[in-house]
Amino acid sequence: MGVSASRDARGMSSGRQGMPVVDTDVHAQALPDAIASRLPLRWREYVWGGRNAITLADLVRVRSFACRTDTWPPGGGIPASNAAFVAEQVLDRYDVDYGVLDMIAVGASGTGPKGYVEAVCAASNQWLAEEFLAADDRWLASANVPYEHGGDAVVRELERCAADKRFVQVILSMRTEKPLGDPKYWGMYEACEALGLPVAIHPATHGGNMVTGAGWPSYYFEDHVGYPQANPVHVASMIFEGVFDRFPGLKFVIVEGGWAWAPWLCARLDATWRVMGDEVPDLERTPSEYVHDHVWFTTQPIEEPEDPAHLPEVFAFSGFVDRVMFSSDYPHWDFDSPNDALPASLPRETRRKIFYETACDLYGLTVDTSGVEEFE
Amino acid sequence: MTAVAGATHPADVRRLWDGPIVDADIHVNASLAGIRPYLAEHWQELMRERGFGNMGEPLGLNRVYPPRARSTAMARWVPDDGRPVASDLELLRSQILDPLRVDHAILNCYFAVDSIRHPDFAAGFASAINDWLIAEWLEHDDRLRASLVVPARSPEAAAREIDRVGHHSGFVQVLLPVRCDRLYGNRQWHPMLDAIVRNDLVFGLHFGGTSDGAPTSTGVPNHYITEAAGEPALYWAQITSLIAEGAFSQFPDLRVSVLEGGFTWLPTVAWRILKEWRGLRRDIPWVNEPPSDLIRKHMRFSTAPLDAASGEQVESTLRWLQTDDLLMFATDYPHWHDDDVAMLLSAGGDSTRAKIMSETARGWYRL
Repeated sequence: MGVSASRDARGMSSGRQGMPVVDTDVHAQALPDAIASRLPLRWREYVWGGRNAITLADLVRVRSFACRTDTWPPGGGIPASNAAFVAEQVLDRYDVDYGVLDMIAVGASGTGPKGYVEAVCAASNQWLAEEFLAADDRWLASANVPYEHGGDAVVRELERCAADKRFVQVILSMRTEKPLGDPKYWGMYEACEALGLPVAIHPATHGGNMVTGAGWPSYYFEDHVGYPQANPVHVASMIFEGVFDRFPGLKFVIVEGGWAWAPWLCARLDATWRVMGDEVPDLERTPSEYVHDHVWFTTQPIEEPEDPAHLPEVFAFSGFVDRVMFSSDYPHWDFDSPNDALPASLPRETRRKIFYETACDLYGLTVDTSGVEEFE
Repeated sequence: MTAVAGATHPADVRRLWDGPIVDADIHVNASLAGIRPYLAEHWQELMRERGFGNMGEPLGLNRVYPPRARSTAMARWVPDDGRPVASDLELLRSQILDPLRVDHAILNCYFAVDSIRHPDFAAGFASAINDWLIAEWLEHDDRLRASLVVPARSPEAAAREIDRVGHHSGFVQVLLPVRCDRLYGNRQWHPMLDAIVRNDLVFGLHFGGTSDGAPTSTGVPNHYITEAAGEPALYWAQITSLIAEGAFSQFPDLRVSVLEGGFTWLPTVAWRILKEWRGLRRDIPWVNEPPSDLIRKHMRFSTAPLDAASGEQVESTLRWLQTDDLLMFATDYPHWHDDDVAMLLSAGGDSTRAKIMSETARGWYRL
């Protein structure tokens, strides 16, 4: 815990009530030359002449980099590029115990030659380790792998990252080339299961498909509202293609994709399977059981029922209270502060789970809970 | 795998509900032989010469409702005498309209016009289906109303077809598949939305369709069960598009029925749209009412599939939506969803049940 942390930073008077926090979605963004300088010469030139893979930015952003205006580092660079400044704005200001860094490497979603994508993923992981992990013990990171190209390079990069225990999961862009049950991703799952790394997905670039199954929207608003839309297909595909039967230790984390739709999806999967389960006769369990056992969610953007009094009901009804983890999504414009995101109307036990217990279990962390006890 | 008696069994429904019923989504299946007489001679010739139909055309039909998928036709609705499922009025009367004692039923005939790329043939095909619906269904039973179909790849041609037949008193809605090549809020659709509104019809957003890319934002699913289970997320995109592009500001009388997509997802989807609107209003400044209010004002939802694991799930959905005015009972005959109508009917008191079973649809479709 940083010395700058005050009691107030832990939100003693808010729904947090002094609880530890594991922030499961903090962004790091490398400047292009930070990645280029870590690439082999063969690909360094390619970066500078490279295509812009972030086609989603065709939907004009609401703010530059979709970021809070106060997150531009005073010394220059782009939001979330300066480790010390990010630590100050996230870890210190809110006395956060751990922050999981998500940097989805440009190109990791498959745009580019295989060798280039492999090199960019490796360089991105290296940058995260050197700039962030080395600077502050509170950082953890998500590893980038060339998941669309696949093959041995995925396993090699996973093994290399997993040697550093602070790489706690692998991250993919939410809109992949195929639904995530497809056999092209099984090699990655096998390695992730063996290494104990959860697989996380997060909104970012896409795998060449349109933003919806009915074409492109016109506005950033639609893209941003639409982050949950890929998730039902991913979860259905992973279940019905037998991913969780094959890799029973695999854990899947849906970051920034909402979670309150999960009870609907469970009902939908079960009802659909009761009618047409003959298409997937090898499935070993009822579909919703896989969702409960294998899927985790992060909070940001926190669900906001029209009547705030409904939020505790939504959590309680969902059956996923022990699968939802706090996230802030720093430095984006819709950042959720750990001290404001969860209202005190949620049961303490629920808030404990969301703020740190579930993330500690999933990622194998321990936190200091001494601040919690005075409220017990 | 247990087969639960579904909402589509009229006896189950009638045991639980004795009041008036409007069935907001009943399917009838057209056939090429059936609509051929309603096609212009040159389109009939095209079909003969080129063997249109010999490979199962229009091909979108088999993608959306694969013939061997158990959801496509509930076993009990398959006639023993070899007649195709839901293919004639006598079948419909004896299997569903009479035993369910409906006041009205809204017929939907999804015949995959959207999957025909030839723009003029698609337009002729849509006209033939509509003329067939009038001649063989609507004019024979006063209880029936129907959705007209359109060549859904061309807003202008769709508008022409709506103007051609939309005034027929039997047509109350335009059937538009949820999967298309451009989200329906997009300005290119305005001529069609305008035609829907000026003919006092409802926009019927329905399962199925053909897109120009993968059917999901993340590629082509390998299994039909995956695609079907995930398809409601596409409704979320369409609802977002209609709101974000200002369709309800441009067409204040636009009514949208969300059909065969479920509704237990609606609270979380509506909350998300509302929340993002609060944060991103500058992106879509013409949306000057809270999107959750726009949904309650401009949209209604059919109840099949139910997609609920318990009566409590339906009840919570209504409580979180803060209204019981949005649901319209539907059997989705002859499709099979494993729905338990008792869950639906346990969600509220008599007044809620009456709204769901008939009153909301009666008002919405002006029956």
